[in-house]
Amino acid sequence: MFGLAIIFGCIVGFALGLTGGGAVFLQFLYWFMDWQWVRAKRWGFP
Amino acid sequence: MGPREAVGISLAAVGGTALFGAVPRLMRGEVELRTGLLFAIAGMIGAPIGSYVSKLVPENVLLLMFAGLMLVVAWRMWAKSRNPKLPSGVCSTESTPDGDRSACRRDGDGQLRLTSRCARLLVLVGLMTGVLSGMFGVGGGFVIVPALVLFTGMEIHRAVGTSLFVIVLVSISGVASHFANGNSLSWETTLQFLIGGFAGMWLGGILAKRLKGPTLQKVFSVAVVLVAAFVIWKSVAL
Repeated sequence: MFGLAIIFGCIVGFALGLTGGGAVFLQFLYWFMDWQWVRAKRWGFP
Repeated sequence: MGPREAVGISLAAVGGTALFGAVPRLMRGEVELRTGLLFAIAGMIGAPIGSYVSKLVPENVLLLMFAGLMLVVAWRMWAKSRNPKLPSGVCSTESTPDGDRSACRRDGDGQLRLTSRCARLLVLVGLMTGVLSGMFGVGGGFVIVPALVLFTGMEIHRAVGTSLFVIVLVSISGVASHFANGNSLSWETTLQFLIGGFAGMWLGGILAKRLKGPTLQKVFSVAVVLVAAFVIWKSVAL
């Protein structure tokens, strides 16, 4: 399934399109991914 | 997913998304190619230096330094949005008196006169931008845009377009070195990021076009403050 990666891609893309910056929000993604439940394959992450 | 693969996916996804946003802006004349190229080359040289320096400083101190820098940047951008004529002391327009000693000048239609003195300044600022992005492990957009606005007197919409162009170049170099070091990445996850990224870029671009320069600068300042708040919280939690 299309998972959380799409949502985060959308957030980062929106920030980039609006402000020219936003890849820093991926730091937030890494922090978020540390939560075990996000690692579950149902969210689309290996 | 290992951290190396996550970095590779970030670079590929952010670079691809930035390319999707940079092309239409390039066609609309919202990208200053020469300034962007100077920034990108200097940034690529500066990033490994910053990355090396970051190993000498504890991570929570580094994060607090980054948050402090972001808050100063946000304040400067907000002040400039309220008073666009606020002098930066670095870049002036044709209307400035002859005695002006600014390194860079913009002519009447806003084009930057790239003299050797100005080019040296841009390389120096680009180098500093690269060092900062290498030090704090960020893509650089939140450092490049204010540097372009505050140091080169660039209008915010053009700074956004030029920043996307710089991000594309830096990401290409990053992805190439990722593969050259024998690393791989999950194309499935990268594709998902890109699908979301294209949608987000399209929406962000529409909104940015509708906002006037000073309003967009204020939006930028708020985004930077949010990042700083997140970083402070993270450094305290470490």
